[in-house]
Amino acid sequence: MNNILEIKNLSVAFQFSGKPVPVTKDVTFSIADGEVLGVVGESGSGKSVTAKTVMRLLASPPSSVLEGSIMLDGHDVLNLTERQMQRIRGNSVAMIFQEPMTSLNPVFTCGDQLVEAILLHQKILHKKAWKQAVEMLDLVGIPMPETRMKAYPHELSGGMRQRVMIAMALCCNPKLLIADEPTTALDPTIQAQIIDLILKLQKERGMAVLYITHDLGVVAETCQRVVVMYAGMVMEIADVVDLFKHPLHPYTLGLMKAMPTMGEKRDRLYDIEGMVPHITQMPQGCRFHTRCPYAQEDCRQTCPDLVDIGGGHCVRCFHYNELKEAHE
Amino acid sequence: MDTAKKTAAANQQVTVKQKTNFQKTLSRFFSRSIAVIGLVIVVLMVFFSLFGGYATEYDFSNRNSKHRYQGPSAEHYFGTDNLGRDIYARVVDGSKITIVVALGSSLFAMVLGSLLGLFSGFKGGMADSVISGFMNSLWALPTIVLAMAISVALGSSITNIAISIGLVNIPSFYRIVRSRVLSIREMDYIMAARAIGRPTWKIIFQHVLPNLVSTLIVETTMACSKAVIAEASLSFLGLGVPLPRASWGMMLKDGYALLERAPWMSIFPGLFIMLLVLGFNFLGDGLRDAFDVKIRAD
Repeated sequence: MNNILEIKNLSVAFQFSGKPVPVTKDVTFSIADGEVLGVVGESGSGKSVTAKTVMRLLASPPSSVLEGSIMLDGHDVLNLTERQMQRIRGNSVAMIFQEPMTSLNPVFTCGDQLVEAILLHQKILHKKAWKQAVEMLDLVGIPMPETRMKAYPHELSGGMRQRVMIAMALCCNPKLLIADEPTTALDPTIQAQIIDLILKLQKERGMAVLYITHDLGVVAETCQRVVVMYAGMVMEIADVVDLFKHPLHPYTLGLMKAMPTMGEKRDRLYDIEGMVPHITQMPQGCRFHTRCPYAQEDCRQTCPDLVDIGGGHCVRCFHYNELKEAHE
Repeated sequence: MDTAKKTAAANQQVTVKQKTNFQKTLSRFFSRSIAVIGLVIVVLMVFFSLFGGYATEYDFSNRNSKHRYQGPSAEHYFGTDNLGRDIYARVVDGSKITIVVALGSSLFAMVLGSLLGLFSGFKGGMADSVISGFMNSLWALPTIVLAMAISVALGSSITNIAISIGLVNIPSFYRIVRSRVLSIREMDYIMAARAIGRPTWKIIFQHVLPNLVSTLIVETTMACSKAVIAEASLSFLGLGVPLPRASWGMMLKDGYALLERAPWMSIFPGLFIMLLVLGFNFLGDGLRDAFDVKIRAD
């Protein structure tokens, strides 16, 4: 199977008081055609930065790519001109964002924005594009699509707007959809509906999805493979079943323990001690060692590599064997 | 058949809804008496400049030594001046100059100022610093001094005076557009527009500019009132539209020396300057209130 997206050793830096400070380091993962890949991690772990770098949406300066490569649908993204990139955005890859409330332009109707997106990539008549837009709205489950075409964004609810955003992202049949926490701003019932919608469209169209979230529950439901990120680095990559059964990185384990289970009575929820260090104050050695209950001397000295331990399960930890034994 | 009917009905509903939105802005505007007064003054002034001349048989530049220093009467509505010219006819002619200069200079400043502001705000970096620095130094100079210098350099015709006043007004448009662009540029929908593959120029003109329309309308109205004063000041100083045209500022100056002998010579042009400035200011305030999203929210 071909990979629609391949990220290798990607390091992205931001300018901090004149100096470039790396925010993501050595990020490597890939997505196969038609695969749903989840990326999880706390706020500030570099999930969105990685996604926006794939789309080349970060302003440069202040951001810059220090090293690494991104192959997207056969294009070397980092070496394309802005014009070439514009053709790829929306066509090969599309993105939906966290905030449906502000992701639509308030001064245009939803229909205008949809039609514009369609006409951007297809040379067809306005009338035909309009028809196509109505079909798209119908497809994403918006009742009375003709009417909604003429509605302004403020006349729609958050869930509706996210549906419009999805329709817009999908109107040119992208091969990869990047969903950057698409349901974080929505309430749980709508959240479930939107996730179902994305999965349904993913199956129908056979597109790949890069699903960014910090909700492990959502990951378990939606994704085939999972990338766990912490402080700008990939900590663990595994098949979703494998990951939930045998998390090998202490950080992944911490995340799982922090999930409340239904029916279980507890005074206090489990949490991982401390906070993600500020990017200018990254610790020496493994970036997680300051918060890791398993940390030993070698973790403080050198940063472990991401090693494949078989079956596509990769982990960045010296002591994953301890966890492995604990599972057995 | 049934569904078609339903859709049609639904469509109609939406059209009605949209109209209501537009009507809301209108009713907000008309609910403020000051806004309505401003609109009425400005509209009446435009009518006055277009058709006011038909109400008198006198020409604004004809001198008549027999009719010098006449007070307002049924024949000379606003009286005559020291050369026997009909002041009413001269005020009408002055209104033409003033309105053309006010509108022309404001539109000129709006177009140039917003283009520069859009470019500078979106581009950022070095270009932004250079343009901003230049605009700030323009802003620092006293308006009238700068307009004087430019109109002396260009020579005084209506067009040149409109251009010189327009040039002076560019920084105020530039600053307001640039600051709005800087905030809009960071909005999620701009990021979303880029993510779907829209080219930068399309984003600037189709997504950023429409968000600025209300601001620009208000600012242009305010610039008109500034331009009325600037034009009057220039012609008061003798740098305005030359004879035989009769600009309000020049009439004020002519009447100034004869204030005791023939007060009507300066009262009428002065009154009209005041009225028009007041009209534009009221109109601008009214529009600002009607468009203001923050007031609209509650």
